[in-house]
Amino acid sequence: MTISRSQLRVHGNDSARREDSIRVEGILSGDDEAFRALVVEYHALAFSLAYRSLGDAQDAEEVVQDAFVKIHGALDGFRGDASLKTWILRIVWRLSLNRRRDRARSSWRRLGLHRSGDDADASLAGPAAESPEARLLSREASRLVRDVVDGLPSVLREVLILNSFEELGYEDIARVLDIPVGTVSSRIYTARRKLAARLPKLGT
Amino acid sequence: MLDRWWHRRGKELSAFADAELTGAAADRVAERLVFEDEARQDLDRLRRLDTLVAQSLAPTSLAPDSGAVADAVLAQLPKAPAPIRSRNWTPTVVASVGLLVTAGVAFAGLKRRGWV
Repeated sequence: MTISRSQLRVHGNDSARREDSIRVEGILSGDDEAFRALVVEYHALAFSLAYRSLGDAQDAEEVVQDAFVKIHGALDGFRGDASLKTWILRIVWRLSLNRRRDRARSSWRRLGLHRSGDDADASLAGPAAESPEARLLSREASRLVRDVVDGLPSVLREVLILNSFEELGYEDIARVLDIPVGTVSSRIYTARRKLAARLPKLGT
Repeated sequence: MLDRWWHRRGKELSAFADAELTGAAADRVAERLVFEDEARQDLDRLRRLDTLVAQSLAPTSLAPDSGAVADAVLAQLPKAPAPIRSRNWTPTVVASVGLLVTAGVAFAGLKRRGWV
């Protein structure tokens, strides 16, 4: 008897869901260590998501801490329809959007005084600096790409940001944004087209 | 009509670049990539674009230490209300019974002597 890949995926999902619900039950019964382990496991991903949405490390960290406090309070509402990871990312995403909205209203940001020194001075060089793309990507180019992404309509920007995570597939993105998978695919394609049209000089 | 055809081709290639295409659609794109120079260039452009976006959006500073963040989050959690301790009635009952017995004995003694 052979098992198809889709059957394996269903089995994998089932066991992951079971692990998620055992974990949630532990936390709900007052196991602080279990909650601590959950924060440690998902913090980097949550921070990266908030940062990609907000473009500011301090804002991202505040949002993430706030998100985990809210997650702790909302865990009894976790029904297991989606994985714990997707559920957590959805909360982080919503709080990031709220922060983004609040920030857009602030006069500080409207005057363009919001760019933190840390972010501006941070080097983009790293292991990826060996690739031609990384060499091409000066600090200015990076800012330009970010500005173009920021200038996209929000429905396109959000799929592009979520799709920049290797660990998130279209199904995960669909769950985080609560839209159909086909819509995710269409929006990613449209976002890429618009981006390519606006970044003709960056080798795209 | 032609627009829709181009749109479908582009959308399929985009999903293929994300390894999200399966079945006949994936086979169709794979075949195009073998025979069409333009499709290969488009895929190459898509991947370069993705690299640019990923590098531009990625955090430029390291995320704070996860353990320290976890401790900070735990410190912010509302404390669970302290359990209401059930009152230990035993000493009170013993003292009350003792007082009653003493009062009873004293009353009986006073009564025997005719003082009450």
